[in-house]
Amino acid sequence: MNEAASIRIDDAVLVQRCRKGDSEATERLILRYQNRVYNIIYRMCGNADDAAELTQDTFVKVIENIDRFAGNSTFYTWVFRIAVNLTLNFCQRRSKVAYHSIDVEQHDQNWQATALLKKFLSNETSPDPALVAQNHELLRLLQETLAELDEPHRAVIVLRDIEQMTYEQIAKVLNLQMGTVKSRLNRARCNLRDLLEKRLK
Amino acid sequence: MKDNIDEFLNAYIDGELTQRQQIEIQRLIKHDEQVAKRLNRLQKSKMLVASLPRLDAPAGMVDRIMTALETKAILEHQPAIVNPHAGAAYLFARKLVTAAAMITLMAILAVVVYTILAPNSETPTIATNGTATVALATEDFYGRLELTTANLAASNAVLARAIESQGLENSVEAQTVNGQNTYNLTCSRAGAKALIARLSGIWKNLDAATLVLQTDTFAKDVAVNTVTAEQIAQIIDKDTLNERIDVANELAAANKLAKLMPNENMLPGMPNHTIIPTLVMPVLTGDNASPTKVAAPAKPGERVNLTIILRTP
Repeated sequence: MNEAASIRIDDAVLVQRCRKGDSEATERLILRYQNRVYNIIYRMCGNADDAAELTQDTFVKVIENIDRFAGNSTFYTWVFRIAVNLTLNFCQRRSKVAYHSIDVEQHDQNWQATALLKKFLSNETSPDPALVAQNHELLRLLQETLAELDEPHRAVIVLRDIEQMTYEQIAKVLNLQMGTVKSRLNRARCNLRDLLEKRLK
Repeated sequence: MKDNIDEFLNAYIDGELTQRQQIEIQRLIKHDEQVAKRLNRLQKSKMLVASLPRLDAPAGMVDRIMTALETKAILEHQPAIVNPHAGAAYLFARKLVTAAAMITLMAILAVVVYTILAPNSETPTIATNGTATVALATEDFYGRLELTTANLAASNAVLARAIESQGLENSVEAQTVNGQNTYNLTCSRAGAKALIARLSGIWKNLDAATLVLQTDTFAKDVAVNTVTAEQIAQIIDKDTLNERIDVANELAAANKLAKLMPNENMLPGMPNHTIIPTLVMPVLTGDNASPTKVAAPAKPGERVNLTIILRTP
């Protein structure tokens, strides 16, 4: 609690200095959030170049509009709202074309990853999650499956399970009611599970 | 119902339930194997996604962002090379100048055409007075009345009495040269008309009476032969020289025509010539009564300059 409070105060100071044109403060704000922003954008759009471009656009927009930041939410929430909105718009424009197709041949070659996934998802066994994280093919499979979700479902899963946001923060970033966050997260996890099991078949 | 329980299970694994709700869910899991299985599925999905590694932004992201910001700032502050409104403003100015030139040209053309086509007449100028009423400016009368009579002495006497009776003694300069008497009269129009009216009595004794209307050009003087007192009054009564010339020409022609007619005594006059001025005749009311004197000072434009010449044939 104290750490979180100190971070918020620190953000407020940096924001204030950034508004006055302090480039050092601007750089510190970017450095503080660039990795987290890039990570969730990458998980949502699934492409490193697009993610880098969208991260840059996010911070340009943040700095340009920093005078409009009223402080009603935390700076962190505000930055992520801009990032998610830009990414969702980008994904809708791209319209799932490039990312949703799965190379069947490559999929067949990664039978080990599939087997590991099957083992992981079965009720009887529960392998160490660390093993999953070490299997790059399984991670790629997982990323592809994530990309198959609708954008709203993908966003809520990324914010919760990757960025570890609370339901309240998700509601603020996505501008949703708390009940909608709960039901959407439930639906997103069910759909993800269905998609993964579909791959195993 | 199932979705409702799943929402609680999700909230349970996300740590979003109150302590009491957590206890309820734990009790439910313990007693319901299906719920426990669903919880396990959800936990594994969550763990799977959470196992995705955190990726760092590419190196140099800060520089990229700062460069993008600087570039944008430069572009926004750079003045536009082409002003989109400049062309429209230039075209508008050109149209305006063209329209002004056209109007000026048409005005000049109109003046030239008017100068060529307008009648070259001495149109009476319009004079306005303080009450904004418009009246035609009048012009002084200049003329010569040549009376030929065998009875010069009697005619002179009548003329002298007439001048005296109208109080025009100071307006007349009389002189006798080579047997002819000349009276230079300068008086008001009313005075002149009254004097002519008084003289109408001698007309039957005249051998000839000619009114010469002096114009600006000597050669263009208009002479009305066999002129009567009424005709003189009629001519004097006109306000401008052009009107007097017109009337004089009409009367001269009428008199000439009348002379050629068998009955020489017919009244001269032109068709449509209906303007017969009323002569100011003196009214005699008794022996001591004197006629009305009209020798009022003449106003500019209403002055009559009449030279009366009495001579023998």
